[in-house]
Amino acid sequence: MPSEGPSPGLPKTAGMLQHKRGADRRWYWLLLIPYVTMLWVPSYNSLQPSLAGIPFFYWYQFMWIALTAVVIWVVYMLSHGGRE
Amino acid sequence: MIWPAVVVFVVLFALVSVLGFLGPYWRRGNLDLLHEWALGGRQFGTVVSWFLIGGDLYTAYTFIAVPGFIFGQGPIGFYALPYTAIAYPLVFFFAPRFWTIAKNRGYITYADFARERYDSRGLSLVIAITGILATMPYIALQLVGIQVVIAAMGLGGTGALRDVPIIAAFVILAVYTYRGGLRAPALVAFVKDILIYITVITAAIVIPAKLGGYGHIFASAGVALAARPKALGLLLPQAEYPAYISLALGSALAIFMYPHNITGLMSASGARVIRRNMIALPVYSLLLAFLATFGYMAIVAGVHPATANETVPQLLLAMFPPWFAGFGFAAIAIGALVPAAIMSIASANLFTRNIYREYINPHCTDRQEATNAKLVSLIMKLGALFFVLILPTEYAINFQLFAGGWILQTLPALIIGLYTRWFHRNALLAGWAVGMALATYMPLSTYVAATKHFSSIYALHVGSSVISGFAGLYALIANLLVATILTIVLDWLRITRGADKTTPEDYREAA
Repeated sequence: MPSEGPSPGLPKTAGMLQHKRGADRRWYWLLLIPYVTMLWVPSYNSLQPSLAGIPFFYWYQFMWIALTAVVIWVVYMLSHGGRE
Repeated sequence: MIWPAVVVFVVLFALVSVLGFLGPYWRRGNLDLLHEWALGGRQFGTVVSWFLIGGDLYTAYTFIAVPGFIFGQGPIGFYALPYTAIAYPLVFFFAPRFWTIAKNRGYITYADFARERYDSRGLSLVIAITGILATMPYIALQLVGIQVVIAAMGLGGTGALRDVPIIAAFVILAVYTYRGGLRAPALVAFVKDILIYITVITAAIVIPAKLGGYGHIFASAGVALAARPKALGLLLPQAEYPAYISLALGSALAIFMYPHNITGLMSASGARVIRRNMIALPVYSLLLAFLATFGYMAIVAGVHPATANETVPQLLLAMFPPWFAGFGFAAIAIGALVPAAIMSIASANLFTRNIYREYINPHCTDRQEATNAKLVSLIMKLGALFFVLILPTEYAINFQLFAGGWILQTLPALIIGLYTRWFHRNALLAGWAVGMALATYMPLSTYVAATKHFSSIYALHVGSSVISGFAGLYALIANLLVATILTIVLDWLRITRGADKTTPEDYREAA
């Protein structure tokens, strides 16, 4: 029975193993981006440009919390996406 | 006593207690095995892990302390934003590898890894002790979180009755953790997180609406901060850049060195679950970012908390009807139960695996091992309870300030050890000792007798300039320097390195 039981799992597992070997970790370098943007404090320690009255210092950091998740997601998709 | 708040609080707390007691029956396993009791059988998928790890990282004390710190100190407190964001890329990088080796070799703790990787009982022992030391005050602070909201409701009366609610909360926590192990906080985490999200999202919408919008809150807070005796602004003074950066980086490096957080990671069902969670966990950081702004809202709302810890409870009482304040208080108190349970489990694991089984009863059965861990988890919590009932709150806060620097000193052996065995085991031990000494000495030297406060910010003199930064990070740099130099020396002297019990195959993820 091809639709159930362990047999269809086997080729899939083998396929994943193959992909694993090819998991491209070069994309991991992108993970350094949030460290630069969030730790380079002088680049954002200012009131302007403000957003709806919120000083740049604050909304920039809020934004980079969200963008950190995006960066990790991109790295995940590029190096592991579709394989796990 | 504020009755509507108390009623809502007690009802929600009772609900969660029942849930905690259902722990042993959820995804049943043999709770006489340590990995079942302590790690929930390493079976939690992406969603359960998200609630569990999120509930574990963002503790009740965090929710109280961060806004309180910002209320008192202004923009420097916002280092919590970069800190909780940049922790995740690092964990995405190393944690799947640690999960894999832990699963393949049956590790329950970090110290188990150090033992096999470096063939060093000494290294394993000091890592276990550091973990336990760093965790104990953290458990105490969770109970402080419960105390703060109980006091805000005027619950608990006076005299001998004052401590009844905190003792009741403690007993509930202790019993369900003892019975259900990690399954109990995993179940409670669902409720905790939902309550916290409802509270914070509601407050982040309603309070600005009452106070004239976010723009107005920042502008007014800026005026109020500038008018203080020690004038502050909405931006960081240039002299505080190193402190902001080093606190954010140092805390991000430290957070997953804490035993309770690594316990949360190890309970995942796979490396993939951890990767996916690193994408989803920053949602909690956004929540924390909104909470941080509550510090400014409290300034603008004109609340007058007696201590920084009372900032959020006082803000909720000032801005909401009592029943909703009680809802928020329940969220905080229940939020204390999840990390407190996991912390006591994690420190019990360290004691059981790396002290009891290593030194006291090497031939213990699996059942004895699990029983010992359950008992030690009780002792850890009892210790925390005595801490908060007998000693002034300041002790727990100060102790934890030191602990943040201490836990960082285990990083070279653990994270670097995952990738290379270049460091000599004895060099790592010496580096740890130097790091611990500095992470203790530096904050001690900042003691101000008038306020009875220590600071984790140390003014380091480099030549003619002074750089004020996070003591724990300075200590880590010294730790790495010592470990590097001694590794070269010890290898040159041909001091034996011991055998690595892990093999490259152990680090390979199963497909």
